[in-house]
This record gives sequence, C-alpha cells and structure tokens, in this order.
Amino acid sequence: MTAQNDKQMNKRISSLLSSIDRGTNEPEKQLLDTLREQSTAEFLAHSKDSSQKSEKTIAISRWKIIMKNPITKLAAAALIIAAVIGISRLGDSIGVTTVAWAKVAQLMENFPAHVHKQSRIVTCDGKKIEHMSSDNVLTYFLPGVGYREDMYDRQGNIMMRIYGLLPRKTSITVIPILRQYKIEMLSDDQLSAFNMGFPKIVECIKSGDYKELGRKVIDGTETEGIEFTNPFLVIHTGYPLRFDELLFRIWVDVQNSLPVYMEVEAVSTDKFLTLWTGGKPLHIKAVIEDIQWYADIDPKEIEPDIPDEFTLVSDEADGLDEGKAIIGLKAFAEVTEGLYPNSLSMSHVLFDGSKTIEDRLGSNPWAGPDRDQAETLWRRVISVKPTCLFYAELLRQGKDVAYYGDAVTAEDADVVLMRWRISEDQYRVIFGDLTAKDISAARLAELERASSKE
Amino acid sequence: MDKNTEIKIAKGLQQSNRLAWLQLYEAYAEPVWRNISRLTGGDSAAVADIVQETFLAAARSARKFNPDRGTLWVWLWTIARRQVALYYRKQKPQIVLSRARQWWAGLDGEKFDWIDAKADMPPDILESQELAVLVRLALNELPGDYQTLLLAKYVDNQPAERIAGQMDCSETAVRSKLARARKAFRKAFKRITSSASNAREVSI
Repeated sequence: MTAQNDKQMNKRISSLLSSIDRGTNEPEKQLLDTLREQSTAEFLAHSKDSSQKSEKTIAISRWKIIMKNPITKLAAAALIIAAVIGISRLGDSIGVTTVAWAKVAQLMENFPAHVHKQSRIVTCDGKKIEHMSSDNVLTYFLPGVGYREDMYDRQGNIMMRIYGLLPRKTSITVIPILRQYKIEMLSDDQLSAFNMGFPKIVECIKSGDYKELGRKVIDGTETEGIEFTNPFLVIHTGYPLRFDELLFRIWVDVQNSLPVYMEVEAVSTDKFLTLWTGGKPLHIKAVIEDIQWYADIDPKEIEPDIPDEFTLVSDEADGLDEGKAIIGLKAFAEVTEGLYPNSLSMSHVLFDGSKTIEDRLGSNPWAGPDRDQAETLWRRVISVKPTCLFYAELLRQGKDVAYYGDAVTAEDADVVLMRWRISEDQYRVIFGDLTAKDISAARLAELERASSKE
Repeated sequence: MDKNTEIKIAKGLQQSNRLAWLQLYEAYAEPVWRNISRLTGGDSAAVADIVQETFLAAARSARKFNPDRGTLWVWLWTIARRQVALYYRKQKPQIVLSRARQWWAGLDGEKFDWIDAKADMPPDILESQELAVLVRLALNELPGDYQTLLLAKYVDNQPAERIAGQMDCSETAVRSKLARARKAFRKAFKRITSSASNAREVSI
C-alpha cells in the first residue's frame, strides 16, 4: 500500500468512525466537579477500611446527578420515597431484567430450608492446602433448627462435620479422623458472625450496591449474575473467620429467580488460618452449587450424632479444673431437678439436656415464646463441658477415674458421684451433694461397696 | 500520560493517596466522558450516569490496581466499557438496530467498499443518524484496546506516539494493533448489518 493510499484509507476510516461524534455531549464541568468529590470520598472510604462502603456517599451522588437532568426532576420526589425505603436500585433492576432481584432478596432474607454443595480451594503462595480444601462439602440448612456441614475428602470419606445449632447458640465440630469433637457456646457476636453472610447480601441487593455480570448458562440453566465486593468480612465455620477481601457472585435462574450458583473469592490473614501457613495470607475460592431450595430436611439430621468413643477437646485451658467440673454438674442438676448426666460423654449430655428441656417447655422451645428460658437452661446443660473435659483428662492420665451419674442424684449426699486417684492410697471424691474431699483407698472401697448394695 | 507519572499514580493508588486519585481523575475524567458519549449517543443523563458508575467503581477497586495488567487508561476503560455494555443491555437496542439495518439495506452503492475504506462514502450517508448507530454498535462489540485505539487514532486524531504511551507499547505495536482493530471493526460492522434478510456475511 502506498503512502497516498494509506492516507486516503485513514481519512475514510476517520470519516466513518467520526460519525459517532455527531450529537454527542461535551463533558459537563459541573457534574464532573461533583463526581470528583464523590469518587474521591469513595476512594478514601474503600482505602481506609474496605468493609466500609460509603453507601451514603453513593446515594447522595446519584441524587445530585439525577437532579441535574430536567426530565428526571419530575420523578425525583417519587424516587426519593423509594430511596428512603431502600428499594430505589432494586426497583430499577426489576424493570430492566427478567431476574426479579426483589424476589431473590426476599428468598435470601427468609432463607428457607435447602441443601447445597460447596467446593473450596485454599491456597498459600499458589500451593493448595489440602486439609483445608475440599471438592465436596454438603450443607443442610433448616430454619429454626440450624445447619449441618459435612466436609468430604477426595475418596468420599468424611473429614469434618459441623453442627450449627443456631437457636441454641451452639457449634459442634466433629473430626472423625482424629476421633475428636469440639463444642462451643456462641456469644452474640459470634452468632451474628453466623448471620453475616446472607443478610449482608440482602442489604447489598436492596441498596443496588453490586455490579451486574450479565447472563451465563450454568449446567443448562440460563442465569443472570451480580457481584458484590466485600459484602461481609466475617463468616463462621465453627469459628468467626475474618477476611481482608471478599468477592461474592450470585447467579440466579432467570426463569424462577432462585439462586443456582454462588462464588466466593477471598483473602484472609486471620490468625486461625495463618497458623498453618506461618502467617502468610490464604487465598480461598469457593463455589456453592447444586442448591435444592425448600428441601424436605428431617430435623434429626441436624441433631448432633457423636460416637461415644470420640474425645471432647477444647481450645480453652480448662482441662483439669475441679471447680469448673463441679459447677458444670451443679448447673446440669438445676435443669434436671437433681439428676446428673448419665455419662460424661458430651454427646449424651446434649441428648439428655435437650430431652429434659423439651419435657419442661414443650417440643422445639427454641423458636417459641419460651426461647429465652430454653436458652438459659441450655447454657446450664453446656456448662457440663468442663466436667467432661476434666473426666477425659483424668482418663487420659490413667488416674483410675470413675463416674456414677446414672445412679447418683443430688439427694445422695454421702454417695460417690465421681472419684479419681491422687496418690498411691488416696482418692479425691465428689459426692452426690457435690462436696469434694480426699479419702483413702480403703474408705473409697467401703463407700462404693455400700452404693452397689443399694 | 508519561511513564513516570503513571508509575507514581499507580503507587499512590495502592497506598490510598488522595492526590494520586485526583491526578488520575483530572487526567481521564474528560476522555472517559467523551468516549462514553461517543459509544452511547447523545443522551446526556445516561452518559453522566455511566461516567459516574465508572468512576465510583474505579474508586472502589483503585487500591487493587495492578500495573502489570495494563496502564491506568486500559484499566479505567475496561470498567467504562463494562458499564457501557450494561447500558446497552438495559436499553434493548434491537428496535433502533433493526431500523438502522433496514436503512443500510436500502442504500445503493458499493457499501462494503465504503466500510473497507476502498471508496469514499457519500457525505449524506456519513451524516446520517443510522450510520452512527451502526458504527457505535460495531465498536461496542470490540475489545477495549481496539476501541481505545480506533477512537484515539481516527476520532481524536492522536499521534501514534501518544497512543503508544497510553497503551504502554511501541509505535510499531500500535500500527500493528490498529490494523487488527480495523479488521475487527469491519467484521463487526458487516455482522451487524447482515440483516434478517439473510444477507451473507462477507469474510475479509
């Protein structure tokens, strides 16, 4: 091509492409000045604390620009009313897409029974951390009862099971491979961490604070997606995990507005996780799929099922605290009107405690008007945890420990409830009235003989 | 924007420096406005809205800007382009497109020679609204770097040297990319104008 031809071609293309310049608007200085301030505020808000979105700033800026336009001034009053009740962008979305985001927000707000599958890949420095990753985590969620999360390895063996008994503010983690389990009472802060996810997503959907991703066919279903940056920065998986950054995408079936696929990408420097990586940040990618909304889940599936031979473990340093052990037994006896746990296996304690509370307050008292009372009683039941840990530790140390809770009540003042060896011929004994004293091995033998005769 | 300023701003953004953000805004607010206006047409409220969404989204993610993945302009235009695409999806431009296609189909002359820049397009056609619609839609189908190149070279008449700076590549690379961008544009334009009357797509 000659230079002349080249020049001519450029001129023709320039004429063609410049056709789009006709009728366009020059930048509006006043609007750009306003946007400079608003975007700077947004930049600073997200730089200082990425969890704090300047929703107020965004809302104000949107109004300012809308008000510049004479056409939209007429509709401003109506839009302001919509904004006050928090549905301005939501309404907008409903009008222009087939996905009813209002319906999605409502679904996630009510959060019905469902089952879903999750896969997680956790990496550090580009390397996968196998024991934190799983291709197959099944979650069962039942409102008013809680959830169960089963994490499987590649061979289909269960690695971990977490029960989230939310109305009872209790989390139980069972680790079959270690034959151990952990029980935690959740503080209100921890409990709110359980709820950090979806309520926050609902808020984001309602405020319109998301990015639209367009459409995508997922497993044959046409979906429409939206993306949130840092909608929440804490989630609870038996422990409130904190994230430094989090991206959440949700893909919704355009036919019925039910979420079918969710994606999470996160970075965490939470010490609970970085304990395994020498303090280095972890990158987490998770996908939630195969969601069966309104699944028919038997509440029994959410009730903890812990094999007797599993050992209760604790992060707390209360392994050998006789005082706490006695307080636990006292608290349990208050619930059961003088009875002690049949055994010091926490799984039995939970079962016996639940049954007693339901006998006293009716079935599923956690959701009814007696829920405060139920919670108070449940806390007392859980107080037996240090007793169980105490017993397990004595057992581990070979202290010749014995427990007779199946036969001894609070009325049996002089009967041995629990005992363990403290020296060659001395035992420490907790009696039915929860007094404790040291006695000789010979005296203990007498007391136990007497009890067995009764 | 020269390389040093670019590096300085990028570093500033990562460190949450307010001045860095303001520098970025001053450099690119107007060019972003102009290009969005070109790609969407004359609705000033819509342009203002898209520009606003673009800068607010950029402000939210500026701290994570990675210079290894492209220049500030490339990053910013990627955000803007996404907002323009969302605008088009909401607008459902099928009716306008259908009208423009009919107009194009009814034209006499060597239409594909005009698009291939082998012949001059008559002035009345160059000035028509329908042509602008078709060109806009064709441009919107192109990747962000092709859009940037074509607009910078043929609409803003920027020299190759300046474009090279904006795209962080050599002038030779700009010329080579421009050739590919033109080809992609012609292809997109022909695809768009291949109307429901089963006009055969001409490969170029």
